[in-house]
Amino acid sequence: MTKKKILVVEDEAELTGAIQIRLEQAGYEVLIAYDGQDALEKARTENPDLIVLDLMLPKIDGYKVCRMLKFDEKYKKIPVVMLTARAQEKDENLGYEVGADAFITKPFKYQVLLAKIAELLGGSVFKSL
Amino acid sequence: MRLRLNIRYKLAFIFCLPALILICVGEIIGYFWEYHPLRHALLLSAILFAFLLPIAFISGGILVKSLKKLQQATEEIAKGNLDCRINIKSGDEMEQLADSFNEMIATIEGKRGPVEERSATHEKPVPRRYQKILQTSAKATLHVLEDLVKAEDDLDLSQQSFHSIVEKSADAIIIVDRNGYVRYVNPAAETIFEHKKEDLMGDLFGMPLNHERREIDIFRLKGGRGTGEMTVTETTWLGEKADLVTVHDITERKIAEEKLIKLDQLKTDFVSTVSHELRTPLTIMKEYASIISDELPGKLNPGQRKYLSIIEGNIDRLSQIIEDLLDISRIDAQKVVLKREFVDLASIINDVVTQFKPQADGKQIEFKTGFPASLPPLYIDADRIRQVFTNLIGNAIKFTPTNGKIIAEIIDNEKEFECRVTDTGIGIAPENLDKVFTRFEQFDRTEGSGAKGTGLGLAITKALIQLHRGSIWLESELNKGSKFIFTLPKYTPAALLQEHVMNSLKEAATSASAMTLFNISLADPSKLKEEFSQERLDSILKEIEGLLRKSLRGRGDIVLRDSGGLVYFLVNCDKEDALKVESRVRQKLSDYLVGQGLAEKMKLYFGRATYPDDATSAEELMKKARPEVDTSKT
Repeated sequence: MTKKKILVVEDEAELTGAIQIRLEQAGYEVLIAYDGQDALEKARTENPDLIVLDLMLPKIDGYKVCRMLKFDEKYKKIPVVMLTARAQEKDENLGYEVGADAFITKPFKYQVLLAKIAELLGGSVFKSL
Repeated sequence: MRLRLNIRYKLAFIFCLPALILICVGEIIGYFWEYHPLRHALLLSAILFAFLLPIAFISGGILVKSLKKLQQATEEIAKGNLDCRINIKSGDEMEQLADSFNEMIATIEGKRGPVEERSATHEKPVPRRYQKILQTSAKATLHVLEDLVKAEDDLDLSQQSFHSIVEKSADAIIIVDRNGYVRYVNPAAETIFEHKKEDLMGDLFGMPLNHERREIDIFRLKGGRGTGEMTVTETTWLGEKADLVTVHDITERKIAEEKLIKLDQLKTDFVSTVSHELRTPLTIMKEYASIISDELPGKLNPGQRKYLSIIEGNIDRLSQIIEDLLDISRIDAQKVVLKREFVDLASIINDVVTQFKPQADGKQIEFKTGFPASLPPLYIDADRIRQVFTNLIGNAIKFTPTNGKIIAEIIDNEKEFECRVTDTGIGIAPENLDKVFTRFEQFDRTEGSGAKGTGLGLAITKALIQLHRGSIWLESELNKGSKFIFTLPKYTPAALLQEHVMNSLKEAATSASAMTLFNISLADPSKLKEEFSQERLDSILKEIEGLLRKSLRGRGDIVLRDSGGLVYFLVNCDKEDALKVESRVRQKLSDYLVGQGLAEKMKLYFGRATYPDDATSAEELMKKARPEVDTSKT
């Protein structure tokens, strides 16, 4: 049984570290990307089961990363959870427009993130064979 | 003046002269016949005349007095005062004369009055003997005519004034005839458009002249662009129908407005950046604190656990302060947009109560909730109403001593839903009741430092309730407790749509933007009811609603659901845009129906109307968006 792979895209290394600890604790395999370009490369080469994507990223921002993936037949099925700071309503509306599947507002409770991921991945941490 | 002297002295002279002649004749006789009897008789007559002299003088005075009155009256009339009358009560011709004079003035007065009166009085015969006076009064009439001429001159003068107003006006004033040619321009038009009068006159105006105020671009000869506010009104020019165009130069105002918009954007960006910058470190702190507290890296001793919980508590407090500050700044900027949907209010209250349960248990506070027997889903922003209850119940716990009681309830009072949070806390003094909802007001703090908030919670609460078109107030008694009451209006989806569309129309009209109303109906709902249970139908509609909700694009966009279908409303959506949206939505919904295996059984009909292309009023828009449901196929 292979664990489901989650790509975490977040430029704050320490926050990424905390998310990684929680996701690994929950039983997922975690991949890390610190900028938009890296995220796109890893999404295309590593074929993750889900992407946790921050909005503000170096090189290519989260919206663009999401749009590029969602407009690509090959990757559009990968669920995207966006991490946003709830400063403006338009963040969220724009996010849905580019095809994000869920939103989590910072500061978030890790339980919420885990619950959202579980919902989008259909509950199991393992890939079905 | 001359008249008065003359008559008086003439009379005296008339009496004097025969006396002198008589004396003279008497003296001549006396010269020839010293003792002629006639001489004595003549002298006697002269003496008699001399005696009569003062009498004549006095009676002449009386006559003059009457004549003076007459003359004064005539002068008054000459001045145009027709109200004057002569009052002579001598009982002789003089009085008759006065009466006739008065009558005559009345006649003249009648002539200035309405036509009917004039004709009635005109036929009155004027006594012949007073014709001279009539001449005087004719003079008075002449004065009246002179006044009229003067009034005409005044009119010319005011025309000149008006002309100078138009010429001196800072706004461009242009007359455009029905063929679209410029017939008149004032100097301001030359300045604003930077064109000579000769160039403008007789040329085509070249801008559509609909009768409403609007902004126009002014392209200046010397380069540069300005903005004008143009108003068009109908007028006549030299007897022909024409348009009066005024252009008010608002270039500077426009520049100031643009600056303000930029500043506002800067502020929004600042708030957004700062909040992101503050939240990221907070999130990191919170995450690692919770990793430690969950003992992922290793076991904690009781001291470590206690101090860690203090750290966590203060991280939460800091997060709350940032949230409150952001909320209040966004409320001030009117940037808070409710994301309303149909929500079970009772479950929100239960959630909040559960969330506060550990805190309440710690103080042995009893929680009670009360809901109406049947509570329909309310059209509210769930997150915001949750925030309201969190504020109110949080406050209640904070200010209620141990062994207290807190009741959270909903009451359906026909007109609206009333929500109440009652506590048995310390209460609020009457003099402080007004301050409760004022931002940064904190008072009556007897609790420890941990109980401090930002003083923003209730100000935010009030604003959120007002955004929901409700109101909030409180009843409180010191040392007995407080009761916060707020209302939430009842809406039917139809009323809600009506209200929302009308408000959006107003906005669209001022900002000259478009909006589109989509109506998605289920074909033949009665047949569907045979096939599906009501619950299944509702859940399908709810799914579709969710799909539509995901494609909402911003402020003002809504999705509404009722038993027969859905309404999907987008602001800032023109016809071209609407076509794209529709094809996307159709695709999405058909994907969903196919995925659920419902494509055969369930058919959706789309209706669409765009403001201002298809309709200009809310009713028209809603009517035209209704899809033509083809029932023959099903």
